[in-house]
Amino acid sequence: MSSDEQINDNDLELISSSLDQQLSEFERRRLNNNILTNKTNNASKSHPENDEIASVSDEAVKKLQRYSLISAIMKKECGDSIDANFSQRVMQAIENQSVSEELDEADISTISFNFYSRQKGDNRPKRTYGMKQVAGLAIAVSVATLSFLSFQQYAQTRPDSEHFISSTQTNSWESRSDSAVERMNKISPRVEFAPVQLNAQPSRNTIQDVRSHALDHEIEAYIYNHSGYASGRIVSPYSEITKLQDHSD
Amino acid sequence: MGSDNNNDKELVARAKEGDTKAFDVLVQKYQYKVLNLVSRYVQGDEAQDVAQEAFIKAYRGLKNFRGDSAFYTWLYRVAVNSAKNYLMSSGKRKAKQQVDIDNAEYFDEAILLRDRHTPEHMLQTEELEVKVFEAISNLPEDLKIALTLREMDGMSYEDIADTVGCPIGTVRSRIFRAREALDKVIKTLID
Repeated sequence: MSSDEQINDNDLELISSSLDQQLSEFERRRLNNNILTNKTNNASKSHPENDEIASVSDEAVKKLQRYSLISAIMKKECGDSIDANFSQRVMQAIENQSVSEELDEADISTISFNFYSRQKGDNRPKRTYGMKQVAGLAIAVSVATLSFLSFQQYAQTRPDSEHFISSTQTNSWESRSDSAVERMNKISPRVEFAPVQLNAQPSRNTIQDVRSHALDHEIEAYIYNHSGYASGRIVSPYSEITKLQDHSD
Repeated sequence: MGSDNNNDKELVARAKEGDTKAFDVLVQKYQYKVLNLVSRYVQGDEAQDVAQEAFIKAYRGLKNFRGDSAFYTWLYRVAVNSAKNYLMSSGKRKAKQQVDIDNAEYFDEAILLRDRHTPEHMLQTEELEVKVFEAISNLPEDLKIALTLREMDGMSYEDIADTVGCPIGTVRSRIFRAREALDKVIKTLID
């Protein structure tokens, strides 16, 4: 059985009439959905029945092309040359461009991690694509975790933090100073800071003393507040090293 | 009847969704008109390349086609722009006269500026034309009249039916049978 015989005359007549814009709405839908571009083509081409339907559809499209050519010849509308494979070349070019665009997008997403270039003719699958995505994600998670932990530690040890204020409000000046010193020395174990007044509210008994030594306290508070930013190996020029503490116990 | 614009719209909508088969139908339908249009600007095999580029541009630009105009009007505009861009880029400013898009299909001034009569193209075109018109002359009279009134005079099925004095369905059937007879002739040449 030839491919021509697979399309019945009614379907061919619809194709002919479609060129003349003489189709009803029902016929138009039948032509588009069942004859020229059968939707089952995209569903499962591996099935033998669908292969047969696809071949009928292809033949219908070729028939449309030849009917169009007859019309063009009769109307003297043919160009310089007639290429029977013109539409095939167009569709092939479109498919090639679509594939190359997909590959380009994949390359763009991995270009910063692509440490080797593929040689021409290298047909190995791009297995590094998924691994590089995982590696990038792991780096991002690590950085985020480190930032979060650093912030937490800083918030706990910062003298003007809520935690520190609440603890200093309930204790006496001496115990408050001791705990502050201990905290600071955990940050910088080689430096022992002198006890200072922070921005916690002092008791009524110490207000006069604070006012009389306001300038000194401001300087000390500045040193206290800013010494926490230094690493363990850096000694603030305003702090006084008195002794080393051993935290091993 | 007269639903060609709707037919194109449906095919365009499906092509927008990635159905390349639908766009293939549009290519099959308009390739000769587009080639003819481009050939007025660009000569020889380059016309094929420009026409191909026009279709590819059209496919890629389908998302920008809102359907305000008919598809073929938009496609022709894309083809004319492709041809002009080609002439600009290649420095071949043969088409000196500006062509209005509505008249582009009928613009024939550029024919004088190009050498289209390369031997192989003449042979191919002439051979096809001779074979087709020979086959038309051999058609039964009722089929020949129906087909020529449709293709040469551009009459609708209804007008042909009134002229010939037969039902529209008969006209439709005659035109189809005439095309089938011609198809057998050109199929051997193309394949």
